[in-house]
Amino acid sequence: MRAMKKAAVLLCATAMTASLAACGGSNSSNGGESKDGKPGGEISFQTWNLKNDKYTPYFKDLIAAYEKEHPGTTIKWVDQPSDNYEQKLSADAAANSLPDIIDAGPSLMYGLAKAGALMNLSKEDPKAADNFYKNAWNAVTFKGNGVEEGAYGFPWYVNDGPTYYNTELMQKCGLDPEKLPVTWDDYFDQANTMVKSGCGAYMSTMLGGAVDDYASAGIPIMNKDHTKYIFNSPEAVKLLQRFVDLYKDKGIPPEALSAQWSQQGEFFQKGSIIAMGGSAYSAADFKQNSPDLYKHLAVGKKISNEGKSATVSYEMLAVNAQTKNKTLALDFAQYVTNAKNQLEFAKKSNTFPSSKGGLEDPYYANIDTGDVQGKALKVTLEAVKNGYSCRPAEFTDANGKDYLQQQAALALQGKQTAQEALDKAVKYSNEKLQ
Amino acid sequence: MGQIDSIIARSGDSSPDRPDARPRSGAGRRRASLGTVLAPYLFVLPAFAIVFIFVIVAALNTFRLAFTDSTLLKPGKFIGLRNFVSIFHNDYFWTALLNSTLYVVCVVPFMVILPLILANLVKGNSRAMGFFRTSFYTPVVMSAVVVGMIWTNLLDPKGLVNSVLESLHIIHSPIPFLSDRWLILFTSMFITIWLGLGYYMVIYLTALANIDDALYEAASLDGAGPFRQFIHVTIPGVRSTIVLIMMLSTIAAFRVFNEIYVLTNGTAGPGGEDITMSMLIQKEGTGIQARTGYASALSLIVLVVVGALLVLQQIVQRRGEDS
Repeated sequence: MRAMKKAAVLLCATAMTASLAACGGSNSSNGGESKDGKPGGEISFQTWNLKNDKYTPYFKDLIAAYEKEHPGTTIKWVDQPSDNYEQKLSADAAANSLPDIIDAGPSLMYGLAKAGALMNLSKEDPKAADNFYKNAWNAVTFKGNGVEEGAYGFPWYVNDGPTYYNTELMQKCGLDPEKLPVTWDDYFDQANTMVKSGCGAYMSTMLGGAVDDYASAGIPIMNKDHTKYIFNSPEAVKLLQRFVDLYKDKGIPPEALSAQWSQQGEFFQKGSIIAMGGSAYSAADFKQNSPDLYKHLAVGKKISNEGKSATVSYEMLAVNAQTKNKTLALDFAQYVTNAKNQLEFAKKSNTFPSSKGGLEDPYYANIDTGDVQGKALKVTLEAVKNGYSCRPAEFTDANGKDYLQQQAALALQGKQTAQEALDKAVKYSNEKLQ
Repeated sequence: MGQIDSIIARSGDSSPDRPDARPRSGAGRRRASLGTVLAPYLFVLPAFAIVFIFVIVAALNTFRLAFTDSTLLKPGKFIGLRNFVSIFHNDYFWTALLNSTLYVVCVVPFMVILPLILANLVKGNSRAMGFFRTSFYTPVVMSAVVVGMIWTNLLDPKGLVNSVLESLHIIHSPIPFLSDRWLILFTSMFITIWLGLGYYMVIYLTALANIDDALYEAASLDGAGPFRQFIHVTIPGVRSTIVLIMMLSTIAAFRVFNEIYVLTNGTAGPGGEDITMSMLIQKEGTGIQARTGYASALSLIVLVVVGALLVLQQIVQRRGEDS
């Protein structure tokens, strides 16, 4: 009996420890697809973090208008909180209960597409590409490593931002606020001037730990067929070495080695760093939270040797490959992302549309550049028009992004060379592609 | 019908003076005895069902997954020991193992000794002691996120700790509590100890209450002061509790997650050098592209290491008792 008790206790203890990794009803409507090819029946449409006072009226009106135009259709709108949205999607996908239409960014969608959970719209609707800007369509197109090449969602709203500069701090550090850096050479030249001035400030929290840094220097991140990463070229090593040297010269704050986006803002508002990347509407936050800083703000483009932003972010609407009402799901996703509705939503949400013609709307042509916020909006508009997303969808936080940041941080600390850091990051990311 | 049953049956039939005694049929007696036999199992059944489904089945699934290349969305196929080979070639695994082991080595002694001293100091029924007991227990009920925010604000380069030390001219530049690999780890250990003191103190208080006061009186009559009473009466009196706390704190320390995660905003510190085993499992085993097979293999390794540590403790304890 005692032996049995011991065995039972051991089994329970074993189970409780080993079950650490074992943590893992259908949202998809059951249909009513009409047989005449016209949209009919019911679908679920999932957004994230958009059900609030600001956006709820827009979506209610949008859905009501669609249902009125298409009698016999019902759109069930669900919204998920932003916290743990990836976990929610993962759980739904694992349980085969994804909604009919899903809203997310390309890096989340890539995993779903790779698992065959999303519809390849290039096959389902080959003409859809003509309705969107080319860079937006490229951002939602995946290929390589078991993913059938194609667009796995309709591009929706787009965003980017300028680089903000603290002009008062620039002057204190011997820099000319009229000559904001444009290329990486400009950036490191000004950073060296700042270091030599002994003003005690840092240039920014950039440290060569993001693929944006390399892409904006004209360094390719992946090969053309997306089967392997190649950002450990001699040019990339040279760029990372410049960050290593700047860190040694105390031009990058040590906290940046593990800093998050939110901390960059804190550093900038405290007057510890000269420059920070932000959104077009960060200026409004500065005006409200740091009025003194707002008086000394300048707005510049993202640093790039190519003259265009590599950090444009795209949101997309994908259709569940297992939907039981394909006609309605495709039609409603196109309706939400058509030029008219995108423009209306972009104006409401302070973002930009990805549908063709949207950026030429008078709303954007008549931006008043008389204040910092207007200037920021203008710079962002140009970035969205000419820029692109350099970050491959497969380069997710877990599959390379965090690892590159960590390896770059180790190189800055002198624990490995720049070459070793990038070689390791490329090797790790390539292994994750399998 | 067995002999005992027939005796019970006879005694039941021949008890006319008992008000509740009624003639019973043979089937009724069988139902009663069956119910008596099944009752304890029925009481245990709900708990067992929950443990079976959510712990045992999940654990067995972890064993199975550890030998496959499955991801969250794909079942995968059997790949033998390839996950383990891959883990042993992963630099971060060795870093995580080192950090988690260091956590056990540094935290467990404090978790065993400090709460015992505290419990000894705050035992008693006075209001003052009640106040101190509540104060020491307060961190236990605080959310890990709130604790993390409090400490990150205190230890920031421009936070209270650095500002005070600088204003007293003890340091000239801020101590990098949140950006140096070892300082992050030791700061996290400090927070773990601070959080756990009250919890283990309460367990010790219960054990202390069971020590007979006569033992202290006898020791006092023999001329033992407070320190010798503590060594020769208190410690032997709570020996089994010490072992329990040693085991609980070892498991908790090896599986540390919250403190480092919050202190480093989930980045595991500069270069990811503060990663622990639980953080590594979380990193590999969550998200849309989660490698559930790989994460399961990591979990098995944690199981083996924790099991080995517990066995080692048992051996050391038994040797101590024998000697």
